[in-house]
Amino acid sequence: MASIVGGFCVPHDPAITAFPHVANQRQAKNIMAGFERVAKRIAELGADTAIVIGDDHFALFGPHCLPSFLIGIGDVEGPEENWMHIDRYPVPNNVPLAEHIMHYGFDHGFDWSVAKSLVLDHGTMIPVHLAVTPNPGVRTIPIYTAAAVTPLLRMKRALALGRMIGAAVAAFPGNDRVVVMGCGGISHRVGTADMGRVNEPFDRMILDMVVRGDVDAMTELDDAYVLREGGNGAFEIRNWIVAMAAMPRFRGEVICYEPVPEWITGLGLAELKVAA
Amino acid sequence: MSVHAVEKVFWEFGNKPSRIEEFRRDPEAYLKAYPLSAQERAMIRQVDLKALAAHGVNTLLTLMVWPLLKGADDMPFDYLVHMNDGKLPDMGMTGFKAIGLKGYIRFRQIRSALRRAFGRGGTARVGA
Repeated sequence: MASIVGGFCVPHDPAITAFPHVANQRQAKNIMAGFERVAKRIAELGADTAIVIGDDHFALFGPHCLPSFLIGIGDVEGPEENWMHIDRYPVPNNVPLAEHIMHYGFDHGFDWSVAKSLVLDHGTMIPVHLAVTPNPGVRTIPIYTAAAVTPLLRMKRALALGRMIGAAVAAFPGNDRVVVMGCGGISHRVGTADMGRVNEPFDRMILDMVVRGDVDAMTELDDAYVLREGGNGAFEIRNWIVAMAAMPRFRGEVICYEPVPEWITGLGLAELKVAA
Repeated sequence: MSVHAVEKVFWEFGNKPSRIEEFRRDPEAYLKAYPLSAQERAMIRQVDLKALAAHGVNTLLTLMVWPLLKGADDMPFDYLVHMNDGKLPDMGMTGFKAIGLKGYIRFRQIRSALRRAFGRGGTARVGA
């Protein structure tokens, strides 16, 4: 049967590739080294598929349609944005597993929105480009949650979505080796008057929950609290919750953390290691 | 007349920037196609960031649309200045980091001025 062999929580800040020289260079190098570490771990784990969970920022979806959670089951390419110094390219999908997760969800109370063709925005494409693409042969199943544009996916629903994805992978009759990657956060404020303010203690608290494997505690965080302490960008911890909840048992290890006001974000990377 | 209509106007600017030229030619005529109040039309014409945020317009959209209407050369600093009553906040930076930021802003201002002087683009015209 297919199995989840590892997981990661990573940022998807487009400034990483769009404005690399704006940031403190020590910090920028540390973040890039963190993504290289993720790419290396994906190879060491022998993964052939990455389920990448991110969120849209009005690049893909608009006021006419705002899906709560969406899965890309067909053709994938990215990025949508033309200012990130990444040329658009096709991203291989694991279509049989993506379709299986879609159907499994339908059969278990999760009415996915579905994209048969999808152009990824930075919400998934930054991690794909920096950590998955360097591993030829590893395919990407993109999942989008409503974690930036309101109305937001409820935290408890994110938890349940992750649990369902984990069960779906375990029920797939293949030998696929899967990593899950929750993308976004941590503290950042997008377009607000205090944009650029990073809350390191909040970020450390979130990373500590990852290390403890305490997805329930993260799920219990109130949106008003998250907004006040982490800013509107911190709503993206939903994607971390999905990834953590998809793992049966894990222990978290922080790869690196950097508060980078020039990139308006507290950037944290962590690995979710399967626990016996 | 609602925040949703304002968001639709902005999302369509971002989704199809050629609409911005149409808007610039005749803002009032352009906005007539949307169910907007006079107050909302004024917010859009003036790209009044604080009023738009107070109205409930998603700041992801205002951040996306601002450089399309105002030019990208001074982003995000000019956006922040408008959001903060004419002052650039420290963005949480202190000491050398703040000095570095000021230097970077100065560099971008000089680059922008040179580009304008030599006709290589620069700050776009304001929408209204």
